[in-house]
Amino acid sequence: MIAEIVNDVVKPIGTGFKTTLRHLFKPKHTVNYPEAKKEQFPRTRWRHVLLRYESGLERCIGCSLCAGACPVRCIFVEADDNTDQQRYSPGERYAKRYEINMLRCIFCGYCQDACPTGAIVLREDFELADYTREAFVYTKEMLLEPLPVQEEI
Amino acid sequence: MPRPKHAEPKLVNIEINGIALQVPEGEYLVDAAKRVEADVPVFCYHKYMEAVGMCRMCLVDVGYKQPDGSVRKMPKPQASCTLPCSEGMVAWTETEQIIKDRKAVLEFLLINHPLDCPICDRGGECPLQNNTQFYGPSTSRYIEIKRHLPKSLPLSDHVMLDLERCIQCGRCVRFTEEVSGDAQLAFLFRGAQTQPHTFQLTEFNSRFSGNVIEICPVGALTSRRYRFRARPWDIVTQKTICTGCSNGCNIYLDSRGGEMVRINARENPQVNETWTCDKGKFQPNIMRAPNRIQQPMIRKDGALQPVEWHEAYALILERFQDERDKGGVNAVAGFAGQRMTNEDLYLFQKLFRAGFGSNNIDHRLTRYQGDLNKDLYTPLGTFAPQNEMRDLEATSLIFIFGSDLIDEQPMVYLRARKAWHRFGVKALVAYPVPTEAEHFAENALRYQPGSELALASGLLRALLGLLPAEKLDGIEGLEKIRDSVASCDPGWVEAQTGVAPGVLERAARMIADSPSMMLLAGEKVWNHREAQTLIHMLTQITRVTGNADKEEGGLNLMPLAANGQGAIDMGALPNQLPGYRSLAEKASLEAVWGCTLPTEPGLASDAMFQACLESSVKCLYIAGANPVAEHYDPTLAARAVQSVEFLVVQDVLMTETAQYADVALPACAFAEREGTYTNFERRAQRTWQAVPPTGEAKPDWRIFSELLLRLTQQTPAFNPREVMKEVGQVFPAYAACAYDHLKDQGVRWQQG
Repeated sequence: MIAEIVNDVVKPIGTGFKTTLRHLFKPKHTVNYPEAKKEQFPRTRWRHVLLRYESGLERCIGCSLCAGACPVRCIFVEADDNTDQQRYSPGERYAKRYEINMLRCIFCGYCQDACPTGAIVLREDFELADYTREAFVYTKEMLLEPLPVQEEI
Repeated sequence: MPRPKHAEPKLVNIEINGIALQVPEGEYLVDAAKRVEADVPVFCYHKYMEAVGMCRMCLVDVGYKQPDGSVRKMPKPQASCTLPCSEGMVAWTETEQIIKDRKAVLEFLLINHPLDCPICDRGGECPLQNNTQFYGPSTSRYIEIKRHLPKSLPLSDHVMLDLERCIQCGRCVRFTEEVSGDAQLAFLFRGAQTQPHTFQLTEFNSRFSGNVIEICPVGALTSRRYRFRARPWDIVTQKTICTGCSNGCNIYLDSRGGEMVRINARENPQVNETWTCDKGKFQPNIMRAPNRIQQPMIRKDGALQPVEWHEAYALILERFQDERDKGGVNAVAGFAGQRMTNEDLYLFQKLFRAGFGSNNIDHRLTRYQGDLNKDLYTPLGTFAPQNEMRDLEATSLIFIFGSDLIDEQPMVYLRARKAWHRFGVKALVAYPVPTEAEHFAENALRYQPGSELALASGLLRALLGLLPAEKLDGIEGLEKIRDSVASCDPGWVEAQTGVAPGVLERAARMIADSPSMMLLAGEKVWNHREAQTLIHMLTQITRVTGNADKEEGGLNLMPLAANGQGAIDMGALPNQLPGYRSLAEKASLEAVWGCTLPTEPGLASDAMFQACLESSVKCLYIAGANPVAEHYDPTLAARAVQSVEFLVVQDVLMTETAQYADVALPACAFAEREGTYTNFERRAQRTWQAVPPTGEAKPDWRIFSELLLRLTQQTPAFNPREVMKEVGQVFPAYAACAYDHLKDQGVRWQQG
């Protein structure tokens, strides 16, 4: 009777705790999200960013090729003329409106492939949850890289 | 030589890529290749312009069959765009040599091309891009610095020039020389510096400048209005027709997100070939006009207040029926606009005839308000306009009478000019001031404004003296005609019109010597003080010269607005039922409509407005028209709409007329609905819906249909297709214009 209890109850419990005990001293695979975050791979495709040149001018020329390449048609681009007074990008054309519907986006990265100036890139920021549907339409202001800080001389 | 209309072309046997076929002799090889679906890329060749062979893109290998059956090949490849097909020709379009040649041509063209495709408006629909993709080299061996020239150089309000992108194909230069005839563009400088520009670097001032944007095979000439508005993959293209004038040019209307962004020409060899005029191509976006009527409105406390549709309908019917019951059928009247489709016009006159039992319905804004059946069709024995567009090329004389053709009928102007330029058709112009058409006219009669009748009478008298007796023999009532113009000798004509006897004599001789003549009459005839007599005189000129029953000659009184012809066909007239029936022939109409119709002729527009002033007409329904701005006597129209007791205006915009409305109803603009328009050559053509309606706007036919339903309790028409079917029952000639037959190019209804 006692032998049965030891074999069927104590031993399995002991085996289980042994596994737990062994893993207690091994390196951990999970992180304490959101306090800690895992490092992303360099080519991870998450949130889009519109890049700038070093001069601060936008790389995007509003050519709409990303919208053409997008398999889910989630990008909307409206272009306009650059003037010498109001210059956003080198050349004649810039994107007046640039919107991505993140609910529709499948993060395939075709827009990045299509971009002739390397303006749109998909980067590591993966925390895209929000409360309203409207908040998922990312505007140009949200996507654009902040202006480089002018170095003091 | 004018091009005979029904000539059978001589066929020759040729062979392309091993496929034997028959083509008309003289057809260019590049067109013949399309028949066997052989790809021959082109840049400079355009179907409707002279071939020049400038770009060398269309090279093919050519040989000729020898009597012994062997094929003798030409030593070098030939430009297929300048090579007319002849008997025994053999061509190969895909030989190794040709593939290499095309690569080389493209590599040369791309040496100085900036390749800024991502920001170029042509990108995505660019022949250079496409040809490079299919036939070009994938890389360039040219590593030196490219040529730099001014970019985004405005040529005019409509056209932007980018000199870097130009490949010197010469299409634009040839267009202004050959087609529009204003010869505004030219190649400046030579060699590597060659660039298309206006001669003195002035503004590109043409009525047809928009076409060069479309024919440019690269993005050198782009539209300023469409600049950076959209890319080809952003837009939805809808075929439809332009409703700017009665020519009915076929167009593509491109929209992005329900907003019209541009208009491009759609090919219709019978009407506009591939051209548009600037008035049509760059027309304002009426769909987004700030002064659109957005919802039905009723005047309460002196201001128009938005209401529901059913309230507006109830008020209209209550007032119209009330006044009709009190003051008889002449207390209500309807004025139809010529911007409405055939379906709208048909239902509008049905609403008044069958619904209110009144013949008080008219569409005319001109001074001429007579009975066309009596004045024109009976004497001519045919329903005018007699001719179609391509008759311009078959006739021997085009007589433009009282019309500034380029302004009133731009496409007729282009076709008339082409007839002169390509086929040597002579032209004669009679207009008070110099017009563009005078440039190609052999003789111009500049008369005192308002003296059209004296000029026509003088011409008729001179013609009767010049025409050979055997030609005049069979004319009915010749003596009466002779007597009526007996006093109009050249001296009297000079006193009246200021046209010297010699000039008149020369013009009359031209007409008398021409085997056939197309008379194009325009605004000055419609608005002449004695329009009825003038139309009678023109009819007599057509008859005595024997053109009344000629196929390539005749009298064409050209309507002045989009559906002027349709309004006559659909019977939007006080004294004429649909299908040119007089009021006495109402039985067949009653059978279809299932009601009895009034026999009293109604009031023509002048009488209608006068009756409004005298308040015998209490209720006026103006649909799709703005008589306050467009009537020949705006004061009369303005006073009428102000004084009429109850005014309903149904229109797209809050026009001058709509300001006075008691009920304003929003109608759909032309691109927001479907329907058919009949152009000046009696060609019924379809329009399609391209953008969603604005606000609560409804198509006109639906408004009339819903009013009719409340009046007659009959099954209404649910779509324009059904309305057109009913028109076909009422007017058998239109049975051929049912929607199933219209297709893309429309159908010209024939008088049965």
